[in-house]
Amino acid sequence: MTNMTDESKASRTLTALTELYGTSLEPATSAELDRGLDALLARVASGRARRPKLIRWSLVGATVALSTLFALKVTSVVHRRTQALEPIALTYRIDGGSVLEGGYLRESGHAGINVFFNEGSKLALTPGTRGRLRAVDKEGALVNLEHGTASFQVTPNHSRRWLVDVGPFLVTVKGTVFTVSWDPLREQFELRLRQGHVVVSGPVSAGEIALRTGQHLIVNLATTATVITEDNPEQEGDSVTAPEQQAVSAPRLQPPSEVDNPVGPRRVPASVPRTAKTADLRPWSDELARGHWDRILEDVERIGVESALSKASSKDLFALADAARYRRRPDLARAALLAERQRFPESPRSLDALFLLGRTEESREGGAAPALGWYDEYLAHAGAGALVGEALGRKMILTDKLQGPAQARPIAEDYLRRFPKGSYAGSARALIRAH
Amino acid sequence: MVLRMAKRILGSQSEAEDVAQEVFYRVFRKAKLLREPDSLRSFVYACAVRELKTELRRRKLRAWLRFDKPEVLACLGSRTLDVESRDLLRRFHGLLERLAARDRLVFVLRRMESMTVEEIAASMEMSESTVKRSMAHASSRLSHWIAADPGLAGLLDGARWGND
Repeated sequence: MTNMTDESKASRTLTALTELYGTSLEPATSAELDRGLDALLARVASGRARRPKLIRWSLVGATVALSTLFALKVTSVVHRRTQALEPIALTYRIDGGSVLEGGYLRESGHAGINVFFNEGSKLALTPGTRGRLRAVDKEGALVNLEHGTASFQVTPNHSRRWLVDVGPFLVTVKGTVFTVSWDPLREQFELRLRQGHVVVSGPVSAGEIALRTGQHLIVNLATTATVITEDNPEQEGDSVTAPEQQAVSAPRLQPPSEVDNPVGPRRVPASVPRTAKTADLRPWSDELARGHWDRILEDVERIGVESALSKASSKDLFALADAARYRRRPDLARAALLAERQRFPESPRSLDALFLLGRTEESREGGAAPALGWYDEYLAHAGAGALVGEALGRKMILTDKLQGPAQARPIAEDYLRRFPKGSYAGSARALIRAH
Repeated sequence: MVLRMAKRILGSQSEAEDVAQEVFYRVFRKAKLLREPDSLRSFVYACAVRELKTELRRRKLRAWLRFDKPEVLACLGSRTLDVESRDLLRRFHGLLERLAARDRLVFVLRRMESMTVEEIAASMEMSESTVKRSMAHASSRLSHWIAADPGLAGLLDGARWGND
């Protein structure tokens, strides 16, 4: 009986995880699609096949190397099994603070917090930094850095994996020494690697970035700037003990207009040399297609929000709303969409704006209920509109979240009836099965 | 469609982009052989599935040659999800990684891409009964691994799905 319950729970968990995994995917941005198309066109134009040299080398070299590799593999497996027989649980000691429920680190003084692990690894949080030990076990550790700067010295160990969650970024560590910081206000991520290698994944243009010893990575989400530089030895020595100085020296790596601005594109000084079209609105829809979201937002800052909202065309208002959403400025996105509704009530975009208002509200904390209202309004007016499937799917998800699966079930059934192969069909089936 | 499917199966933005580019390159090269325009969608799907299968095998081979476990990170929802949800995704992606290439493809195509058994069978060039067997095998193994992972069960206990 217990086994049945366990199996049922595991099965429901699998359904839930599948739903989460399936629906969490962020759609490709127009910039990503453009980049892909450019790469494809370039490849078609050159007419080259993929990795021909690699394949040729593999065919020749693989035969020769196979026996050696096999022997090495056997050695590696034996070595790994030997290690597996001696798992050492990771424990730690804290200086300068304590651990609260949920793994949050609380500073007791003003000198920062040091965490020493039994296998030799060390984590140091600078004063005022907020961090969290989310998991510490024999397989490694998962540390969450909410804001501030932390230095890591991770002892190399093949069987352990350290993960550092830094804002929207994830740093995967094997054995290394590095300092990482995250400033949520400026949306700036910074990592200075002194030894070893790490992989950084998150909202960066390349998807993942592998760093090697001596490299310094700065990603500013507000300005979409990603810079990797090589550190010189003098700087390394200083920055280990004084991470505050890194924050001061870091901006020299990027143009002043991009990094020195403390709040990114939200405050563009009047002296910024963008004089070409100060009076006119540039075609924002074109800028959006090129992925230049910040230029659109800079234009708005320069001419004023009110002016932009009252002068922009229907198409450009939509582009502004998209740029604001991508840059996580829901207030501006909402204002643009409402302006679209007010100024162009007969436009087909006016109807689509209802759906996008729902999406915008969803990105705000506590915005689920108003989002549901926008989706309802869209569905009431859209008829067979292009976004009906999406709106119905979002309505189902939000209803489930706010009112429970009993209320969401009829919507799921309606969705499956109308869109049996839609992008929310999997979620709808999961919801029906689970309830 | 292709990029989304590749991201779900590989869990890596950069690898998914590579695969998508390869798929469309092949589609472009072979489009002239397509006699019925209506079959373009299934043709693209078949190309994508073939390339993904190759990529999964290639990844397995690379892991074998490198003597360590591949570090593939699920980069799904990295900007929109909270820490707990991203943690869940990472763990679940880790379980998907443990499935055989064929089972993993069938599972993702059926449960996330909502493809029918017939469509999967056509895309993967196998019989429908093999698809069904593969799906059952993948679900059973994943459920078993989830049940054996107290961390996953614990994480879900507080979520809406875990409530009875």
